[in-house]
Amino acid sequence: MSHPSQMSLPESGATDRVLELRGLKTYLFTEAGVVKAVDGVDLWVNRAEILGVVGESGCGKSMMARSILRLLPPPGRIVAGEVLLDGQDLMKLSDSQMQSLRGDAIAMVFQEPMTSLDPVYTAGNQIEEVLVAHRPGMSRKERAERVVELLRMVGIPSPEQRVNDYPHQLSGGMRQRVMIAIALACGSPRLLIADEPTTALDVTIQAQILELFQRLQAEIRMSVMLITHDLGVVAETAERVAVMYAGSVVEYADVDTLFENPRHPYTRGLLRALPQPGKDTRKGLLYTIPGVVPNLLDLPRGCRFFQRCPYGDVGLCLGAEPELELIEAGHSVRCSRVGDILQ
Amino acid sequence: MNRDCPPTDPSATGTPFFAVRGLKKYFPVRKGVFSRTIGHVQAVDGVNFEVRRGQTLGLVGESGCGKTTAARLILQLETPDTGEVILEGRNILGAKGPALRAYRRDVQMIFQDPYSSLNPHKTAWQTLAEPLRVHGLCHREEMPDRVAEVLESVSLSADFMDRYPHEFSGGQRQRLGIARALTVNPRVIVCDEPVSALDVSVRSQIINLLLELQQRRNLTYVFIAHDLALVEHVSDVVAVMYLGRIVEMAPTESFYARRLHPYSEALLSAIPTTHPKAKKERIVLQGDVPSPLNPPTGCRFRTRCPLVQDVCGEIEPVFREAAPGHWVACHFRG
Amino acid sequence: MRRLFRNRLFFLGVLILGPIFFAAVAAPLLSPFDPVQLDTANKLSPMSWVHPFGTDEYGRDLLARVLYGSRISLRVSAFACVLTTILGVILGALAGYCRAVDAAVSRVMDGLMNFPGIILGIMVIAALGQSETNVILSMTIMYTPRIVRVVRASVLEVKTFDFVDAARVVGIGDLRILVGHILPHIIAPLTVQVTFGFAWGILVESSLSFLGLGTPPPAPSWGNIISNGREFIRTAPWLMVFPGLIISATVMGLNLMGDGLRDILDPRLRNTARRIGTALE
Repeated sequence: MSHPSQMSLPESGATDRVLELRGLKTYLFTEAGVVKAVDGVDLWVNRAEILGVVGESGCGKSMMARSILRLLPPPGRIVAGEVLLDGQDLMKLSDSQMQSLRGDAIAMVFQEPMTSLDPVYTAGNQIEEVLVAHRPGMSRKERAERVVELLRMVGIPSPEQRVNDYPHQLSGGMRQRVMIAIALACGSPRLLIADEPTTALDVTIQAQILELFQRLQAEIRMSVMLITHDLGVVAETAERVAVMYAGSVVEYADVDTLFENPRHPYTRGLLRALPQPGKDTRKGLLYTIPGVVPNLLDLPRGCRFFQRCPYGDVGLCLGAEPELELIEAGHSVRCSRVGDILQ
Repeated sequence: MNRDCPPTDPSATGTPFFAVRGLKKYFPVRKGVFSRTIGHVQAVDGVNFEVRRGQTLGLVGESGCGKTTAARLILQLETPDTGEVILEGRNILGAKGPALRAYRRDVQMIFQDPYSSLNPHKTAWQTLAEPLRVHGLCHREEMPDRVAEVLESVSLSADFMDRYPHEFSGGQRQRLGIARALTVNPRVIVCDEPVSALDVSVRSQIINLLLELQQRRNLTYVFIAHDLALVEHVSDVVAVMYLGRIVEMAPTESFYARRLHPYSEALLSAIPTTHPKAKKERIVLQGDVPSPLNPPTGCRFRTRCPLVQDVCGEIEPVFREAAPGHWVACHFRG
Repeated sequence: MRRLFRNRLFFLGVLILGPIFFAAVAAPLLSPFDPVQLDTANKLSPMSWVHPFGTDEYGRDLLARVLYGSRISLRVSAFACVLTTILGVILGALAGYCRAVDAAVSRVMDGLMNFPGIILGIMVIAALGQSETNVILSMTIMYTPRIVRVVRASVLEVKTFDFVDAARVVGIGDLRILVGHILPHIIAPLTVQVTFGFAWGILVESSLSFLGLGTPPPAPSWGNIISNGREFIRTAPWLMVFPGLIISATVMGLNLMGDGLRDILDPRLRNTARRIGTALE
């Protein structure tokens, strides 16, 4: 319990951690070089909690999600770190043990339901497949009933008819609900990892899906790791938030604190760049974060955000990469100048 | 069934600079060996709006509402079944030959996907020089200067001329797309979700570029997006589309002070805000958008509307001016 | 381009095809014999130093015949490829871009493709008579539908990309779009298809000649050499073996080149950078 970075994370007290990542490093070994997609990530999700993971492309959030499930595409490999599910290190499990956890204890929902669902099988078939894999004792009749029950649970109207629909016959929102039903098939997953689950959906449908997550969180005490680039989604749905940039967590806090008092320049930049309602600022120039997300093949030394940071100081920021430090109860920031950056 | 009265700003004088009247496009759905037409997708069903010069009309709606089709109709990428597109008093729909060419210099488009909207085989130079050549806008010797100029106006260095699209980042590609639109000196630009496919930290850069260009060149924008917060920021007038029709249209301030149509209200309340303390009454709509193949009779929104009554299924609501400049199509709010 | 030669399949193909091609071009230098020169005194003699491949029933040197035959086979197939490409690209591009043209062209092409194997070729020769030109013509008719299909599919796919719309919006005319923007994208699948077409052409020419419908005698072509050698299969097997081997080698070489090209050209279009990009998120 005395892993060095643990000291810098917000204290947990007696909370029950469903998932914990310690020093996770996932690298992609490509022809062009080593891409440090996830470079030392520590975070955790408590039971029946929604943790929001925010970041843009290249920040490593999807790679991190896949690392947890050990479903990395070929050039990727987990090179260091622990992934603890209720205290059990998933890195030490065999492939078949891992497979029995996937879809049962840990489930994942992806961004594009059209490509995550097999177009040649009906919705019912795909949900049933999970039951067949993890619950061999169920009879066909029991499975059929369970499938209809699941579709009802995720809010699909006329579930008895929808069971026989193919993905292309369902709308985007319904497909995503089917994905969630697949995730819930075996009962109560301890953790649901949702990777940009609503990005491809309309705003009104997104509201429905987020509401579904919250309902499931309340009803079956499911934890959710909600990965998204949309700060608004996180503000309204999550209880705690981790902000990722270029492979590491740069700020970590509960949701109210993050939005009221963001301390990392990147988080502050993201929030300031959002268009604000009100006539005074209308058609005025928005705040911008200059530059672009760095190329992970060629990361700069020192702080990875330095080149875009309005507070960057050559002396302090270019030397070593800053550590994630606890600056107040429940709030960690990775920034060498955090003390100087005030409201 | 009068739905032809576009809103006019009380302070406007004379004819509108850019207007769209009665735009309609139904796509036939064919099935069977002989391609029998079994129905029509009513993609755009009577759209009217107008924009004053130098201003921005924000067109908002979710998937299937017809905003993209409307954009394609305006740009003559599809031919409408009926309707007019009027630029400075002249209807240009149906124009051919030199008239169409002239229109293509006046009205341009910025596309959503920076990855598929640039030809991967052409360098920046080739992409930008081609319109100059085709329209005969300058002499051969002047071209490098003109191309460098337009690159500069989108904050891209002239050194990038010989680069291929895959050598640019997403944000830079979008700038290149904007540059392409600017080469012909347009007066109206239709921006179709110009930042949705970009990284969040890059979006504000592109929005600022568009705002600056509008200022400097007195451009008129039709800004299509699904992000209401963004639309509010950049628009002078907001129009909300649902299933092929505009259900509400108003100057931005008026719209944000008070939305009249229940769909607009739901749309706004569905957007997650980053002010967690603002606990709001969220209206979560039930069900999905009905198919445009078979839209509901009467008011198209009635299947999801919290205010629905019998009359909604029988009579189509008229698009009326409920408050000065603020138009809405609803039995109870119009 | 460098990657082309690093690809093992392509390289192997070139290795095999190179010498054959060279031999065809340099035929007069490689053999002192005239392929149609009769020398009945030496008829049906087996391999020897003088006649490395032996002689046929008229005493003609087999090596010389095979070498000169390769000129004909390669030439015929090459011409057919060129014609097929030109015709196929024009028809395929128009069919892909313009729906009205598509209806007509596709029906015709489907009809042509329905003819089994070489029947079509035989029909054309029967109708037009036997000559090298007609062989080229019939091969063109047989293979064009395949090229049309590939080109059309490519054009249909690229047509949906935004940059085509963007070009139209900015005022570029249809023809210019088709030629300048869309056609560059078909080069990859087209090259692969044409390479395989070349191999196919060799086989077809040989088959037609074998049936007595191809290159008229006494001009040697691989196919008619084999055909003549049929009677002597027991007494002088070399008459069939050598041309047969050469045909196999050529076709294999071309197929390897085609496979190699396909490996390199097709996935390259799915930009590697983008794949890594999405993998990173």
